[in-house]
Amino acid sequence: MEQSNWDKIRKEVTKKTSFASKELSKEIDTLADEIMEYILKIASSTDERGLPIYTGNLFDSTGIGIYQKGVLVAIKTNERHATEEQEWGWGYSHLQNALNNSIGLGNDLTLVIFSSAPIAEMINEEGSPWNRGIGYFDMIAEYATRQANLRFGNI
Amino acid sequence: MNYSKELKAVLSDLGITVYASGETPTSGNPDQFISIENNGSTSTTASQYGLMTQTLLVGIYTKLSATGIKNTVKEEKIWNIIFERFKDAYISNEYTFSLSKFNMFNDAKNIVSGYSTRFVNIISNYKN
Repeated sequence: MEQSNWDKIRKEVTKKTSFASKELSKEIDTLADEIMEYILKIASSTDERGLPIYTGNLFDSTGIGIYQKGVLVAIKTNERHATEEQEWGWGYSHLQNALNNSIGLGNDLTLVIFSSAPIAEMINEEGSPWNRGIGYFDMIAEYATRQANLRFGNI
Repeated sequence: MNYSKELKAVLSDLGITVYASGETPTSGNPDQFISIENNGSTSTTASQYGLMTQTLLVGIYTKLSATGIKNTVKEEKIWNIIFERFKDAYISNEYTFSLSKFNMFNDAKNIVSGYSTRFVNIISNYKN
């Protein structure tokens, strides 16, 4: 069937409105990978007893998301967290939260550090009972901001 | 307007279960399914044409083997169909769907426990 003018316009407009640089998309994905590698790196730092120095056991709950004008365009989570006991996994509810809380993230690019652990903020501020994990998210945020600014300018 | 339900209808010929936004159950899922979620808010991007835009996050969920290995063949099969269908604008009723250039990350395990997931962002437009 021959396309109507309206259909042709819609196709053209859709192409234009969906346009975004593939290179930018790759850069975003690379940035997300870099931050997850950094998180893994600081999570791997252990003391003489093999206990994590920085994370306060928050590593498994940590993920990051990158939004472009409020649309989630990259998300990285730690797959180890989901277990058989958590049948509908931490990951899915985490994803739902990431999608449902994008209001206000209208900047060109916004980077969010996630945690599914309800005690995350407290540990970041006050540390675990063994005084570990203080500043864990601050470290990640500092690194992420630096890397993002190197790639994209201020975000 | 309901973007995810329209896209669900467009994907109904794939032979696997497709859930629109808010329909995905918390248990008892089949070995492979697609979940469609609204990603971001609806916006007007081209008012001169009366178009509303909503990005949809499409997740292809495929059950992992008992040893945690991805079933790449099953995943790729569905992914290839979706890619071919939406690489150019696909029109359905008053809606148009096309792949976003921002296609999320392509490889994840255990977003739903026991499944691998491949994500793709699809841009939908509605003629209002």
